[in-house]
Amino acid sequence: MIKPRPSTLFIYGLTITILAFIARSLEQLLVINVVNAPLGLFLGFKRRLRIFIILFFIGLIGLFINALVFTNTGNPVITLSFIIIREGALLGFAKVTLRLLAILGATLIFITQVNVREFIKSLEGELRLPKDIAFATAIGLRMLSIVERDSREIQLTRIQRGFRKYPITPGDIGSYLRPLLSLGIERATWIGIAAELRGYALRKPRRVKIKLSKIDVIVYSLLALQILLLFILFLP
Amino acid sequence: MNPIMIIVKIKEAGFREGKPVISGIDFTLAPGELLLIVGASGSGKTTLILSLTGVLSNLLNGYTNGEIRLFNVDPLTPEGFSKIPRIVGVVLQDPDKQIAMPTPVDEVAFTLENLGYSDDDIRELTLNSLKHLGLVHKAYSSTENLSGGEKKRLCIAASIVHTPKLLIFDEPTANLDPWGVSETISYIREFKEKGHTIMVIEHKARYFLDLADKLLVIENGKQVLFTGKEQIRRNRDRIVNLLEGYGVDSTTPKLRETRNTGISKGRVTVHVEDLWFKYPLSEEFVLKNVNLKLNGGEVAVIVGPNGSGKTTLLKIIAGFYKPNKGLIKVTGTEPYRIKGRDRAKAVFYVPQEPDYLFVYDSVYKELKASGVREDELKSLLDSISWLKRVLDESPYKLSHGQRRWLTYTIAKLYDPKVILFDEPSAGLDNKLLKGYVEWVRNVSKEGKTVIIATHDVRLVCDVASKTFIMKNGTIEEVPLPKAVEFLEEPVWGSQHQ
Repeated sequence: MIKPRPSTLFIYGLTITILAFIARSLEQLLVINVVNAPLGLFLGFKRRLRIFIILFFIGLIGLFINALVFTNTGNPVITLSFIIIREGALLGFAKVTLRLLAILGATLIFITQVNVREFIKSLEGELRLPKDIAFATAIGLRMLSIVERDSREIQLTRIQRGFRKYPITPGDIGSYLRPLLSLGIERATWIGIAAELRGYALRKPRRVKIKLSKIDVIVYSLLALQILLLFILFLP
Repeated sequence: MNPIMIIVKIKEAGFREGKPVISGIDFTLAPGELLLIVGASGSGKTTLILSLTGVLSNLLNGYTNGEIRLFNVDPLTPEGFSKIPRIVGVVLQDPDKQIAMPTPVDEVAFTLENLGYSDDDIRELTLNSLKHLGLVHKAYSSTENLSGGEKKRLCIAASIVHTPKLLIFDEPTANLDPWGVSETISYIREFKEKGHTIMVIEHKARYFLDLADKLLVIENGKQVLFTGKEQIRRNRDRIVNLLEGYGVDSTTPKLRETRNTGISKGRVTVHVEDLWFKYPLSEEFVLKNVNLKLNGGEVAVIVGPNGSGKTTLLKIIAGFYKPNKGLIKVTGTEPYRIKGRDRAKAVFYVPQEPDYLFVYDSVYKELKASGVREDELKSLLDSISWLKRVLDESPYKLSHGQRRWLTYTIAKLYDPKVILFDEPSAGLDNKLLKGYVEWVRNVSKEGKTVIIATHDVRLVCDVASKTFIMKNGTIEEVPLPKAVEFLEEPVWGSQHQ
């Protein structure tokens, strides 16, 4: 399958992330979600990165509570016993959710489509980024599939000890993330040592000229279209 | 006579000045020699690798006082350290902590790219190296889908592709099935025959004693023996006894006449009949027509190659997955139907990776989570003195051996009828293993059923009351000697050919 260049995907993901922060209205946020959210979630599910999607949706609980505490203003929309949910809370919640969903989608598109070694070469050779940044980012991507595997094992052992499979409360999240971080830090340290012993410090970036393929042009066009729509929506 | 090209005289080395982990290490090596470095878990073997490759002082802010020369390069200086990757290839213990790239071809090419090889050379050398190590058909597969043995071979390929003069292997047989062990020994033998200088760090000395030109023994960070091939040959029995005394696995395991386990209490605790299982989205059955019946007090040891379905079977007995077909009952109930903590009271699964089991930030909370009474906990702490000292520590700060012990203790505190262990002896030296064997015997005497999935022949010999061989998802009960032969034959049979 023909894939876009890693540098194209990197620029695409980075730009969508910036756009997600620039966008102010719901319409603008919807524009950048139309492609990125469904495509990213589809690829994420297909490539076994479900845990990150699940964690995102669990995180929405916290987001909603946050919106309820800090932006619960305007006309009441829903009344649940003593809790009155107002327009401001719903609007704030929707905006932050869409913002994060766009970023998640673009990130999942990026990480499911790049090859780590090609990505390092691309960041170093095409985008002229320092090799340390390129390597750290690439290893982070490589670790995602390992984290996914670890998280599946952790879920199983949590069930048998009477804990929730997926974390919901802050305490759950802490107990879930602790082993993941412990294992992740240990692995990252050793992978770093192994890379140094294989001459990483001697590595010299090989500069390459960017040659865009059709698929790169399509990705850049899609990005341009989203930017254009976003700015049209800014107009009065 | 070959000139000495490796000189190591380490007065002291450690991660923090004034707190040495190793000291008094003094040896030399000529080109083409194989040095076997042995010692119990935590004796400082890995720190020695970090020290003599210069990683400790140049990367980890540690220190090494002394003199090291590897083919006239001083790895303790920054200039020397920068030359190390060209002359030394290091294969670390755990492939998951070494493999940085998504496919084998990328992993091997990464080394050559770092060292500045041309694109054409990278392509040619990478494929040759993968071909040599039998991985060319998996060159573009995901590294995540490789077996344990394949991952180890990939690490070897990525470390030797540039033909370094010195090869260092840290616990090369760890976590490998007998076929993986056999392959690794064969490759190391081949590298030696080709004239590479080799250091093998192992606590299973028996695999490499015959290959070694020199032997170095470390205990508590100190060199206690350095001897040559002639001495090893002439005083083999004395040296083997000495190594056993240091907790190093150096003798062929023997079946014990009285294992004092497997005192059946009569009740059937685990009943599996015609069980079939496949993972969702998978076409192939991982378990096929599995039958198993165990009583309270029995210790079943399941052996088999990597990927034969041992772990999946344990997870099904633990109730994590529902079988597609067949019967499974643990203490009379389908385990996947048992909810919440009741499941841990019936059956408890101890994973190979201890960290997966921990949920709290202190050892005390981990122990209390089982609902154990304070007086019971106190009596337990009185029997395991080190546990008392680390009660307030995070489980993740304990040593690997301590973490393993903590998982056994947690399992016992839940007081389950059935305890399942996945590779419980991985990384345990003989001393720690003896402790584990005692532990299993005790819980067996209490009437609990223990099921152990392992490649470790020591466990078969010391604790098994029933032995099973798993192959391609099927299971067969076999007599103990056959299980031992199953594990030993691939290693020794191929070496004697």
